[in-house]
Amino acid sequence: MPWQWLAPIISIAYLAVLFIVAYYGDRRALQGRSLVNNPTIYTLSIAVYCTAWTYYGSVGRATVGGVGFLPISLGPTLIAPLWFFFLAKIITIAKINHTTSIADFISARYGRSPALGGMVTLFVVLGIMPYVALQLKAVAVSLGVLISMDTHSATGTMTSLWNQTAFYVAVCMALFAILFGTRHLDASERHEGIVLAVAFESIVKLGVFLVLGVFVTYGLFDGFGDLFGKAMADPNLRWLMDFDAVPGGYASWFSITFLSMMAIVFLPRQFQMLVVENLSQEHITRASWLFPLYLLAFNLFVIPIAIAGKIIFSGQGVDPDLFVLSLPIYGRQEWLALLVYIGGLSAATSMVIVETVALSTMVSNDLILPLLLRSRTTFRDDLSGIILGLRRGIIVGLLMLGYLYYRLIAESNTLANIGLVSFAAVAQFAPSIFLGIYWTGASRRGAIGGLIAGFLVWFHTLLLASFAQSGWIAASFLTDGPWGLAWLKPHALFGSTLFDPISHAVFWSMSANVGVFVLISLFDRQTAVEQIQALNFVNVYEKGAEGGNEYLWSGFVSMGDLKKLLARFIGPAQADLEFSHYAQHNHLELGDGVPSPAHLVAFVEKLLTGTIGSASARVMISSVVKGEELDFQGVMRILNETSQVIAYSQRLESKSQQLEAATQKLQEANAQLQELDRMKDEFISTVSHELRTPLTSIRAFSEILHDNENLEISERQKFTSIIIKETNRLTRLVNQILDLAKIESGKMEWYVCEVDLAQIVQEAVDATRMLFENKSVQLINQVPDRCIMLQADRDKLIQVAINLLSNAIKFCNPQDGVVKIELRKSPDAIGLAIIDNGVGIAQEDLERVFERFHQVYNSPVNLPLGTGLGLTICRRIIERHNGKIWAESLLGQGTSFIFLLPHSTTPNMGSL
Amino acid sequence: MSIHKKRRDRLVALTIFGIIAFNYPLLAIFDRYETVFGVPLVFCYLFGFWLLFVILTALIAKKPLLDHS
Repeated sequence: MPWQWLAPIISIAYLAVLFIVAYYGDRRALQGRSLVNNPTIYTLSIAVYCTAWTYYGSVGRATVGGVGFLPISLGPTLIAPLWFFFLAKIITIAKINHTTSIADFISARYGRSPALGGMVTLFVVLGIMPYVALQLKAVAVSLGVLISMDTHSATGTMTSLWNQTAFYVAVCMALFAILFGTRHLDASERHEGIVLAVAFESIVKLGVFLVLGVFVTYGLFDGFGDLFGKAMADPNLRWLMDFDAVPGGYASWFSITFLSMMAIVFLPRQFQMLVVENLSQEHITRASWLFPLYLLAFNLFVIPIAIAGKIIFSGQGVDPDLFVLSLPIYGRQEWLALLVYIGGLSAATSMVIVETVALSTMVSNDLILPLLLRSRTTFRDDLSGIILGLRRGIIVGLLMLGYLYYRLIAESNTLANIGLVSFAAVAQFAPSIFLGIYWTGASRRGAIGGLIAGFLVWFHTLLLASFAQSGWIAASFLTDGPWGLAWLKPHALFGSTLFDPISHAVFWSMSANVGVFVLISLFDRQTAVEQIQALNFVNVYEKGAEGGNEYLWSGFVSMGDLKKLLARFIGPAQADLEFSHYAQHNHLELGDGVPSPAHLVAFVEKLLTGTIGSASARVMISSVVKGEELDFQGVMRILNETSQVIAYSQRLESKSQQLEAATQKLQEANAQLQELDRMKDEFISTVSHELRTPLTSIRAFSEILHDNENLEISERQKFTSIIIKETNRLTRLVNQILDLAKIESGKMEWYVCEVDLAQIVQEAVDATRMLFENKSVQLINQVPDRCIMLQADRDKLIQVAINLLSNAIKFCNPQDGVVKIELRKSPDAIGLAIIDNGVGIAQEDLERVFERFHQVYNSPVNLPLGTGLGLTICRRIIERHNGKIWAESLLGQGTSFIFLLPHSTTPNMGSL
Repeated sequence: MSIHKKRRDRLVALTIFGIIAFNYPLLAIFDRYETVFGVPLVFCYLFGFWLLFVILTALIAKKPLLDHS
């Protein structure tokens, strides 16, 4: 088959399919029916992690290192459960701050430092370009092999055709990245089309790899058993089944696991997909297990393919990196070979496109724009066109740079490990980010120092070392150290020969990075902006969305100027829209000459951050704001005051709750007091009345006796008997008042002993017999005539019974009065019920009759029938015995007064 | 906090468990010339434990991330 023209056409056709997918994704996003807002698509988009390096290179690595290729996938698997914490936090922070790249994130955290953003960008470009070059090489080489359809061409030797191919591949990818990555300037910098295309490519590459794996294992061989059996029998292959085959052993295994743990989040393309393109944090849930599963599937057939290639191409010089493509060609499955090539193309294109789009945002926002905006004081009205053009130029530039790098080192063997070198580069960002989001003390100078230290070590131990290995610089650099300084040997710093090169580089670069970072931070003094950003990042969940942003600007700027500034970057129509939305939401009056409130300035700064990065946004805002930024002391004062105010207000809140409760209790107590006071007043008037009535009659009759000496004896006796009766009443009243006062002040003396309830009833009945007869009230005593023993004060209990009985007599039916005495029992108490057949007591008065001085008036005459103290005294007595007393009544049918005394417990005779 | 504390602790424990299981010296125990159904033991262990790890992650993580209460 004429593959030399069919293969390029199919490649272009495949890219066209990608265009359609991406276009569809963008259109759906515009219609508001996002396809990307889906956890599975999110997971597949993260699989941009699996590049051509994984696709072709894993097999190559397996042929020399056994399972040594696995840590690249195990790292992400092991850290995926932790995504719930740190990734969720990074996403939250990035959303709030409109962060669009890893450089922007770091720069924003450390006081929106342009220097830091630029530095991170430079490091990323330096660290990632070889990785991009590797992808171009993979596509070019695989296309060359496919066109010849001959395993003998798969030896890894360069041809000029490949170079041309790589160039066209780079052009196609640049075109794609420009079309879907820089269509418009957007505050969120999301590219749903690209995400969808990448997800599609992730399915393609995995699907093809699995099909190939099955073909090799079951088509060329007889299953896993057969394949591994042959390998174990061959002494040239047997050693691969052992862990000893892993280069660098367990130390390198651990180091690479660590590097890939960092790389899965901090590679620019991963940060783009995981953080910037994330639409919902809920998606992390599925990604945390589905992505490791994806990686597992991707690695399942790597070893079988590697063994198969080693067995089949033994001694033929076929490049192990191309076994994936050579095996189907050997098996005369040309269409499968084509599919495999497409899979590799998928892996390479998705990586290159996402990486260049992410890098172009970083280079434009964090490297070029801050310089550009600083150096030029006047601008045309609309800058959005310039920025878009700039980004497109950067994409083209980056890919050309990648191509050049490819031409430069294409034939060198170092490409095999270039992926790990890139991983080690981005791992240098881990301290700045992790410490940045969990430690407010991490300072800008610390971050800069740490990054520089880490990168210098990385540059020396990995990049320069790899150059030396490929012969660009003298080999003596490796063997003797630079300038012959042995302690600077790139693979044995300070004579440390314990590690393999990767572990060595990881150990020294991370130590230098973290060490310098922490040391400087500990002795550094942060600026106001740094402190505010540190709080905003670390306390993102506690502080809510807006943090202390409004303190960042204190100068004057009119709304008109501010809007004009925004319009330059996002266009006048969009700026108008944003302003009116914000004004509506915050109840602001818009007007060109009106001074902008600080929060509006902060809002515009955030919008600009999304478009041109945080450092540039800061530069732009400060160009229009007149007056100074707040000085350090000023901001700290405001911040301290604010936090103090917050603390105070929280304490106040709890205090006021306590106060409220206390107030309520006081109010209740007050109401009770007022009621008591009222009753006391009533009592005094009652007592005076009660006292005056007998006194008046005593005085009146005494005067009659005194003035009329010749009164008849019978008259005299009648008057003196009235005087005696009234005096008795007075005595009773005074006695009761004294009794109550004694009980309540705790001075009453109690004599507790075994008493017989039946006997007490009998005595009370005897004492009140005269009353019953006088009022001709019938008494029905139903208390059994046997001993009912309990512990009580005998006299007091009799007093209670008499009181209740005389009350019953007073209030029973005047014509046909009946009073009943019954025995009452409960499981642990015993007592009496005294029941009359009078008018009864209203439900709401049943409790009040026990209150002091509560009087029940006999309605027609409105004269009190008692002293108002009898029941109160009864209740006090019963309560002293740990018993209870209450009234039950049906209006018109009579009232029952019931008391119960516990027979088990000793009465409480102490103070109340 | 945006995450239930118990689940957080479980996920951290799982990661630590995974890092231990996928490194020296535990790996060395399985590094023998033995086969299980024709597949070398160390492969069986690596892929088997990998699958187990994924399943455990899924089981712990399956509840929605944000606690909206």
